[in-house]
Amino acid sequence: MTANPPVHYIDEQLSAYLEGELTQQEKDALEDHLVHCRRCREAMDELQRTRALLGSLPRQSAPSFFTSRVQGRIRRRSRGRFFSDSLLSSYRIIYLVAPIILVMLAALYILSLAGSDLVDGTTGLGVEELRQQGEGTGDAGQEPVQSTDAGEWLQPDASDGPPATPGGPNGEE
Amino acid sequence: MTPREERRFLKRLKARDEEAFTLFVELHQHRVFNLIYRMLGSREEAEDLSQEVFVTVFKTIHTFREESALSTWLYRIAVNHSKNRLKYLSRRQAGRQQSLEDTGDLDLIAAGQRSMAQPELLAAGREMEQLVQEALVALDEDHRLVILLRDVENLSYEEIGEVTGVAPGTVKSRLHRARAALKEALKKVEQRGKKP
Ligand SMILES: [Zn+2]
Repeated sequence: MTANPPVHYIDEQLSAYLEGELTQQEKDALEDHLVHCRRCREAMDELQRTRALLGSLPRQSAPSFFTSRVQGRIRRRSRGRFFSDSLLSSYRIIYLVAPIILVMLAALYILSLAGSDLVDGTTGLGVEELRQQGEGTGDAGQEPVQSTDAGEWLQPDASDGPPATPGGPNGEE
Repeated sequence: MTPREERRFLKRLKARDEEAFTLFVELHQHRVFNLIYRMLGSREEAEDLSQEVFVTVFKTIHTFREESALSTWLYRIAVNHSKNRLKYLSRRQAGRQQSLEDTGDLDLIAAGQRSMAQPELLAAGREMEQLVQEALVALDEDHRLVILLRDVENLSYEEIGEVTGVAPGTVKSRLHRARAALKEALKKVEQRGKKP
């Protein structure tokens, strides 16, 4: 490049200059050229603008609940071996279950007003069942199309190579 | 994290400690999401694929050899997933539209469809971002990747080499070519944006 300076610089060379990759001699030659050559100056401006635009691209954030969705995928594909209690323990469950409980309580109240013989049948529905309903809606609402590849999940240790963690990562507790 | 804390953390990750993994996701989710979003140009795809990246991490953390930084390994998984998804998407797109028109570029067409699907993105301040994104998506995949890793993620040539499996010298020349290509692509999308 220095031995026989080009008529004009190409973008690749200008980019190398911006990265500080030219020798002092090359750098001087390029800077001299830029002083006199409008075309290369414009090319340099555009290149710098492009880089600045890239640098100012807003960083897109992962959506809310990203972590619990990842946990949910792992839970489903490991058939509940991992993160099996994360749904219940996460605060999200409150939002899912609370409205259902409210509706149930309202229904119970209405039924109790309507006639005491009906109430016996309804009060059989325990908290556990409410929870399960909550979980069901949670998963369905969150990821309606979720293929399960559970088959491949818990076998890799057995099929391809040594176990990842001797004794099982989840322990036997 | 000190190197010692980092080693202990890695040990917990390898033991599939759920708490450690959750923290890992919390720490890196946005970086992974942003890179994949810029690679694919679609939020929807990026949401799905970023989740897959972390599922893969959880599944294969025992294969991490500690020859590179954990973050580099994570980038590598994200890059591999992105490349596979791009291949899949372009094959699907090709199946759908067998006769392409003069613009011809699958990625550009996809970008156009996406921008039509998200009219709010074109509003006011977002417009420039949209143009840059379209120009990025118009680049060939390797050029787009090297630009993102260098000019957006600020990785060194060595790190980019580790992530992409390419020699640092090649990364260097590829970056310069990619910037030149992006400059041209940006010019093109800007002109196209002015026409209608
Ligand atoms: Zn010139």
